[in-house]
Amino acid sequence: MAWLDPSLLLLTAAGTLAGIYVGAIPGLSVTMAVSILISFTFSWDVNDALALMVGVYCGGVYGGSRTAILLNIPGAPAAIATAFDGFPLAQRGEAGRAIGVSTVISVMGGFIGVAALALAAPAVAEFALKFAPRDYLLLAIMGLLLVGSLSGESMAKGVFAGAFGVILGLVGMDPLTAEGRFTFGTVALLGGVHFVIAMIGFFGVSEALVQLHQIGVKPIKQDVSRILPSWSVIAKYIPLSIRTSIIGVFIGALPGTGGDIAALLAYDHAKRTVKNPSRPFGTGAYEGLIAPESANNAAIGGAYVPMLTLGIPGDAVTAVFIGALFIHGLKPGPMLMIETPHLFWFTVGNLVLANIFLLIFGLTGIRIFAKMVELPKGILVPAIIVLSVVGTYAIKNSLMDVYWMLGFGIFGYFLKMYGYQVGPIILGVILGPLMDESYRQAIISCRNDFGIFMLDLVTNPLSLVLTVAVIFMMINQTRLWPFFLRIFRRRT
Amino acid sequence: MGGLQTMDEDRKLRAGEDLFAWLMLGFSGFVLIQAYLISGFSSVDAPGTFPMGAAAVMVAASLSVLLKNRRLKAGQPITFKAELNRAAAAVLPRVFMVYCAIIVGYMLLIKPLHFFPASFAFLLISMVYLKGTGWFRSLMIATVMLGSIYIVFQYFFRVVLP
Repeated sequence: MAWLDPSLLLLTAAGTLAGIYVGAIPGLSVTMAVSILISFTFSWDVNDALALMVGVYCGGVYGGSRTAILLNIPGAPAAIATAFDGFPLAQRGEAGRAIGVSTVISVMGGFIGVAALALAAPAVAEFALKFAPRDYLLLAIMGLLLVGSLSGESMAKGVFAGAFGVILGLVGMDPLTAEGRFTFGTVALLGGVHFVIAMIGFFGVSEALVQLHQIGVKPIKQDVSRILPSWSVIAKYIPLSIRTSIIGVFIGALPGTGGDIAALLAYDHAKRTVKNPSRPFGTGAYEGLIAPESANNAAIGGAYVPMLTLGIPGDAVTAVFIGALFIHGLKPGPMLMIETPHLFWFTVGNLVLANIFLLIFGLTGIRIFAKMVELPKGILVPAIIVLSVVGTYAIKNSLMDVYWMLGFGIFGYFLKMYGYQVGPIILGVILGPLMDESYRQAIISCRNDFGIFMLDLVTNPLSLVLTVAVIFMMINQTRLWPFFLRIFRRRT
Repeated sequence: MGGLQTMDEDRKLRAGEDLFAWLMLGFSGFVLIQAYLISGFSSVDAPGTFPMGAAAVMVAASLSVLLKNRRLKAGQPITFKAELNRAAAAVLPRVFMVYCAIIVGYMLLIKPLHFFPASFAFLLISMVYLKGTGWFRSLMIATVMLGSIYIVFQYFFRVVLP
């Protein structure tokens, strides 16, 4: 019970509070904050260092939702899906309630993630290791099929945006052959386009430019009188929260996939399974807010599973955590749980505490945050532009990135004006490289024989399940779906 | 693509929407050519195979958008110039053009003036131009905002600003 030590409690609390604000500011990533903290905590006791970093991690993943809801700028990649329905809620004047609900649900998701870590760590990690490159490809295709849910008025426009995102994600040096792709012979493009730059441009700047059309419109007064949601409201969403938390835990446990992909898949799950949402998805449905918020916080517990049991990072932050453990003389992996089981349970306890602090700090200070969206557009728009510049420059200290961000913002403005959604672009940027790499690794493992590759998809049990799921999701988005449903109903 | 579910079959075509769809088709074609130039059709695991697939999807989606636009087109035939004027009025209003020029000016001035002076001038001019508030309040807001950015980014997180 070392985690109940007053000084460690204080460190976890301070880390969570700092994490919420770091996560809320675009450009300040949780990975960056934890990396900086490592340099501070070099000489600290390992428990002190872990307590602070766990707090920052949990707070940061949650904090990203604040600016996603209020300004349509996801503070962190894990909050991209939160913006889809969170921002429309703020536009309706329900920012306070939206943040309140997202806080309680995030904490619930966090607890489910911790429970999964405590109960199923070894089993989940072992299962995640069975994923072959072709399975990652299928998983990425599943994620990309979310385009159907994010297309808005036209599926074709959504598909165009998703494919454009994939192309954007492939710009730069090919990771397998080091050949330049879409670089036009320039060295500046060899490093590729960081997806956070695209995210800030397409979400932040384009939204600010669209707002110029309503510059004289009086801002909607945000209702912050009832921040704490009633039990009946929460109880209504518990089943969805549990389902999407499980998705979060599972995706979080897969090496290389984190809260961002978990949140997107959870959003898609909600859109497919919730028959009567509080409002249509994309226009301020609470279900569209709850699903990604449960999943991204549950993914934290999931990401710890392969890190502590196998020494494989579940996402970028856990990769930094592994570095921190090495610095403190520990070796994450199967032996960590045998040699230092107290460290495992210390981390579990710490995550529980961080989630409790998340509830406390998450439900306070909302009024100040909500005031941000009540500012006149003439103040808000320039503020978004400056924040976008700082956030973009902070990534690689490059002004070229700032110009790219502006370019994406202007392009995003035209896309939005003509009914193309920008959500699928970000989806493509994130999943494109994973798809490309997984596809080529899978095809190389089949000695470049496309026939064997296709056969593997249906002969391997895990791949078969995923292939069937992909086909099911594809048919679900076509006009064939009602036809199949009619046949199924007639038979039953 | 044509078989996919759509939700926009009953609405009217926006000003310049068809023109934009043609532009996107041209852009998609350009991307497809660039993808082909990476490695051609050399093998199924070549670096250009996957980009070519994605670019082909862009072309197909653009064609589908154009086909749909054909169905949505208003009955009145309209000249190219008139369509261009309609589009300009709808998506390129004066406030957008002027503000984009202010943003571009700001980005270009960041390097010679450095971040804080350039941002201060940008915030001040923007807030006054967009009628967010008066000169004095703009001055106060710009100072507080840049002060907060300095404390959070430079002091706490040691982020190098331009």
